[in-house]
Amino acid sequence: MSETYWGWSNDEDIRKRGESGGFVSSLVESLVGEYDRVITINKTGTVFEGKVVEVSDPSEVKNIQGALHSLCISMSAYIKKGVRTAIVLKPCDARAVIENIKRNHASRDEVLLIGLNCGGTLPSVDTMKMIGLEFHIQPDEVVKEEIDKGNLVFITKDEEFSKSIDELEESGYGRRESCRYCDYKIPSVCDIACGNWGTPSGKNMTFVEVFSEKGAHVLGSARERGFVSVKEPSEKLANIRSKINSSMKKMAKKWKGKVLDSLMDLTPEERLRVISDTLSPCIGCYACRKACPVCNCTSDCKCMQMDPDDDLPISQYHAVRLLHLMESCIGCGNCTDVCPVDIPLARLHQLFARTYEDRTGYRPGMSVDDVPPLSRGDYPEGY
Amino acid sequence: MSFEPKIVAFLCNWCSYGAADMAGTSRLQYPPNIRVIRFMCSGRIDPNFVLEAFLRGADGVMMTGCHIGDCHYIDGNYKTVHRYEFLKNYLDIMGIGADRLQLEWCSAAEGQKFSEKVTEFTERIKELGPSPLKAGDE
Repeated sequence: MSETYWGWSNDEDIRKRGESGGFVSSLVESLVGEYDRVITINKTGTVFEGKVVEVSDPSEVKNIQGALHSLCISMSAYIKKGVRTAIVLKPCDARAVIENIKRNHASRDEVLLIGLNCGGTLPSVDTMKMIGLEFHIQPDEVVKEEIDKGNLVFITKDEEFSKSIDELEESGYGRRESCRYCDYKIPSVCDIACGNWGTPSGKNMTFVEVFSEKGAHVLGSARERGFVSVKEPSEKLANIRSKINSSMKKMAKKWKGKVLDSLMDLTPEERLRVISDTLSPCIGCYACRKACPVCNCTSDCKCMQMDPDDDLPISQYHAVRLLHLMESCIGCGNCTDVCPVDIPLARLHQLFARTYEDRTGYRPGMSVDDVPPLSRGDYPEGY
Repeated sequence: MSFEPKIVAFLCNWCSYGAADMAGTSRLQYPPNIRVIRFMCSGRIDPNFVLEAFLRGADGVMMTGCHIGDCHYIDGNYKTVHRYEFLKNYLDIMGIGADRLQLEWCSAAEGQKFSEKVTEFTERIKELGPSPLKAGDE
């Protein structure tokens, strides 16, 4: 099922402050008390910094910040078994939650996923550097940043700076690499997906898509209690939304061809050489394992007992991680972010996962009913 | 000196090990390139074992078990099949080559088949040459 609306907050203050009519803030406000934990992100200082918070008092909602593109926090870590949790997250986080649910780390009934449409996130440090070089402004001068019609926009107190993302990415800035070839922009695995694509300009509204009965129930209850209002979207703007989505996907496909498929075009020997050379600077800090939202062996994790710095051609640690993530990598890019020696790990994991997806159609994090290939035990056809 | 491949063969206790035994007692000849590791069931072959074999210098890996439907543990070898398919994709993307992994079903009565398959596989690996993971070792 899927129903679409334009929604906005009934609280004038939140509506004015919020990025797109404050719909998400007010929806979150309506959930406080209904769920054991309500989790979202707060801005701390500049738009490049923030932290994960548990909202326990409705008044705290005023600090919630809309889309912080330069903040890539993995939200799936905040889901716990037996705790009813409502969480606001981006599409890759939502897929990570689904992968965790598949492996029995939570139950789908206990979590309410409020997804945000995502055109990609920015690496915070590089972006701060970039705005200094390109626009000659300081990071703390920026009061708002957004991605609009293929442009990256930074707004200071008195000026607006924008530049095409394509151009920035050609010169090595722009979105994180894993976001460039990510083709999952509207989080359809969530209960509700919100975004600013397909909203009338200047009207301060959020485009809301409801995907599940639970989502419809939550939205209905928030409307009844007067937190949010919704109305039917115009067909024209709903079409624009799907057009933005498909053009984003097209762009992702182009990047996938450039970054991932080009590796598959190499001869096997060359590819093996590239993989082992890419991994060779590893210092064995296990940060990629710890930051990975879908890596979920707990205390008996075998990877943590393997030496990433062993003398094998490709360390067993990385070989096993590449193997396991081939069926579960959702392409969040956390591993690349945390690597202290800048190994593009997400590129390798996505090379395996996306190629496997192309061949077999198995895509991790899309449904709790999909059985991961390594866990399958059903009758094999053709053997 | 000609290339003598190192092949690791994972055999299940109930069928393929019996097949290897049968090949031995029947005095059937096959190349001495395989190193046999016995498992209680082919379903116990963790993909990590196959990986480690390759990483530690195997030129090829053979997984063998009971025929589908004849598994001593009823459906252990169903799992083997899914893992095998997954591993083939992995080895191919990694650049090691899916050809270096082989799955065969041999019942305890199929000593003849076992020796034939081992011969075939050894020939194939000889043609493929040493594992690319070993490049630069010698």
